Amino acid sequence: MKRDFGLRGASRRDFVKSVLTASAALGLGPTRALEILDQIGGSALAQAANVSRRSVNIVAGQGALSWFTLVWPAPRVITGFQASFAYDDPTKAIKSTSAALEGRSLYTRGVNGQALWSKYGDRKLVSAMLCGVNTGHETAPKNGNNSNTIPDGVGGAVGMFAASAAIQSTLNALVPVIGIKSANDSSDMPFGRAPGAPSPASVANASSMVGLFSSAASRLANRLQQKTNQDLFSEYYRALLGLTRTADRIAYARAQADSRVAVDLLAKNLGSQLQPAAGQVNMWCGNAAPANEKVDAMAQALIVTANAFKLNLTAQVNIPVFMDDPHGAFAGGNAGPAKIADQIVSILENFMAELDGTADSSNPGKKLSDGVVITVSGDLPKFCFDRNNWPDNSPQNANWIYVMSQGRVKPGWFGDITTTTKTNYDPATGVMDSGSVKTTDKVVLDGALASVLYAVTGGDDRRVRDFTTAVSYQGLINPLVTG
Amino acid sequence: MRKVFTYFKSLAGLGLVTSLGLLGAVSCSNETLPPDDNTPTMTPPTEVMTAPQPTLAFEHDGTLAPVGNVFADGTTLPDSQSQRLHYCGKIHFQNLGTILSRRGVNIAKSGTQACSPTNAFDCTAGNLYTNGNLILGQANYPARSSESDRSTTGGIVRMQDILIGAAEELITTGNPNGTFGAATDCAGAKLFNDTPVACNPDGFACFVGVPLTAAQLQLCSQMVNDSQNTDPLVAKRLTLAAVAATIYLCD
Repeated sequence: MKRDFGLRGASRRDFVKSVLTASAALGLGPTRALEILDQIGGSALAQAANVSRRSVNIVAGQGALSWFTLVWPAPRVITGFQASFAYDDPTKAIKSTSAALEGRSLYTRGVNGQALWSKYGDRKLVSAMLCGVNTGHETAPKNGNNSNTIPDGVGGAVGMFAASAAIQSTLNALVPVIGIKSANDSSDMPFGRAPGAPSPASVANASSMVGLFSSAASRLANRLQQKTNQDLFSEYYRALLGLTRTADRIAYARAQADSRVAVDLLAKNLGSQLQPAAGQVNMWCGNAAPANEKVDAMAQALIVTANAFKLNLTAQVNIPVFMDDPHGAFAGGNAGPAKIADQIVSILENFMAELDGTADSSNPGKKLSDGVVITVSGDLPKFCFDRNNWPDNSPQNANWIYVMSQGRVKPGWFGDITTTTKTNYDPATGVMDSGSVKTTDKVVLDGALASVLYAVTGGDDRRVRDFTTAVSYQGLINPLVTG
Repeated sequence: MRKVFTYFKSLAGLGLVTSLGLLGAVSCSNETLPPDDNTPTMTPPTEVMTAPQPTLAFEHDGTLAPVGNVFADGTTLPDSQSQRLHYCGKIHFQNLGTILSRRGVNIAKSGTQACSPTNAFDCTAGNLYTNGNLILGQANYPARSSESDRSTTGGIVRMQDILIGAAEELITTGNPNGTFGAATDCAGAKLFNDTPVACNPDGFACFVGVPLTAAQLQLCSQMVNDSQNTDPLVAKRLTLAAVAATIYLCD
């Protein structure tokens, strides 16, 4: 709806803030506030009030999600710890006591005695939601009931990453989505389909990601450094592309769309601002050399991602990590896995610190650290109650997703696993199944992934409904968080 | 003063919104839309309309030649195979190198680059090509990764970068028409005609490996003569790179 609305600039922002504050005070939540803004000032005003979040989707395929169970262990691994469990040292798992947990459990591995991201407050507490099933082994989980696809999406199954990208289109990033290919088999990370989703730009690794934004042509006066040359090349390239024999072939459309993005990037030189500084990888790994090349790759990818976010070059980066099926991780004792887990925590802590030092250009008054949603998912989390060969068979094929949602998703563990069972929960209430109540895996998956989208929208249920038909996920979210 | 004014505005907004919010919370009313006078009246078709279709609509470009028309003969292919027959494949890393070198472009890595005397960054076609192997999707056997069969955005950027560098080697002050050397596969052909300056069909056909259509040639000549150009040599190089980049996009 288009309406004339008198306020401009700072006054307009103040007004929007007031509406959101009043809405929270009245217990109406952001969705109702946006509806009110829409009625008062039209959709543009409502749009201005709601800034979608960037996202980093860490995909730990080939059983590598198990590494992250050392960062956020299943509660029973710690409460009933035994030396035979696949966890190195339960004293490293720090119990969160925040009231925001509403009684749910959450243990987080610490850095120097302080739990990961704890210095940033409750909004950085992680939610661990049982969802999807063990689909392993897969590098890029695509098998049925994986933990990145909404089964009851609008118009069919919807990819959570694709839906996030569609939501993030309001951020107007130069390259909406960057997907790093797996080093194992060059496969693209799962993306899926969603109405309005842009195509992801896929790159081989973090170095190639830098290469996306740097070219020789952009740095030489007799090539594309001059604006006139840039315009000439870009305009004629597009026109010539339209004259190729395959211009109207739908199967070629993806490559042609990519090439149009490429011709814009060709004129830009941002490489030096993106690549890791000398010694930065070691610093992020706790002032030590990375434990292995996979930790190194994760650190590099997140450094480049942080730099790309700072320049608003992209809104979503999908990063494959480890892909190493670590059955034998504990074969040599605790030292090996402990070092890797500590470095994962250190890298994630430094990633947040890097974003915390930069203002968010898309959301005035906020830092980048407040404008990012981080998910960690994979094909299977392994059996965390047995370190001997770290078996693949999670209890009743359980799988889960971790999400740092800026407080939009309630923190802590939703669902429970024991050595033999998994217990689902009702997304409508957030309450764990008990007695004869059995929530189906599909309902849980629909609800959990809808709540992640809710976090990416910054709390706009109306936008989430463009992608999912999940009946209700209200039990998983915090509608009254403002800002 | 402005701050005070803003504050009052905010307070007014707060009051307005609060009241609207309360009202909205209890009423949840919807506005009734006026009827649309322009709504067209539709009558269902009485007979099935069929557009004329070619017999081999799916047999385009001969890409299905080894397989035949799967829709006509009832043969079906696995999704993975079918998909590969119908998409824009990435030009093989090695093939790109061969094409360029056989047309007179030096694709070897060199220590000294005239365009970047300090070697702060790769700028010759050879260095961009050689050091861009992973960006271009070349097989990386130590990482157990085969050559990718589709382009990435990063790979396309690098290919365009290489083609501009290659054009700089082919079209020089001493060879402004881009006449190919005797040792190349295009010996004797030239890329641009002199008067009037225009794209030469033979030269471009040899460089890109396929004759340009009349429309492509016309646009090519239009680009090289565009009024935005400040340097005729640069214009020719960018024209060559732009044309080649659109053709080399798909293998």
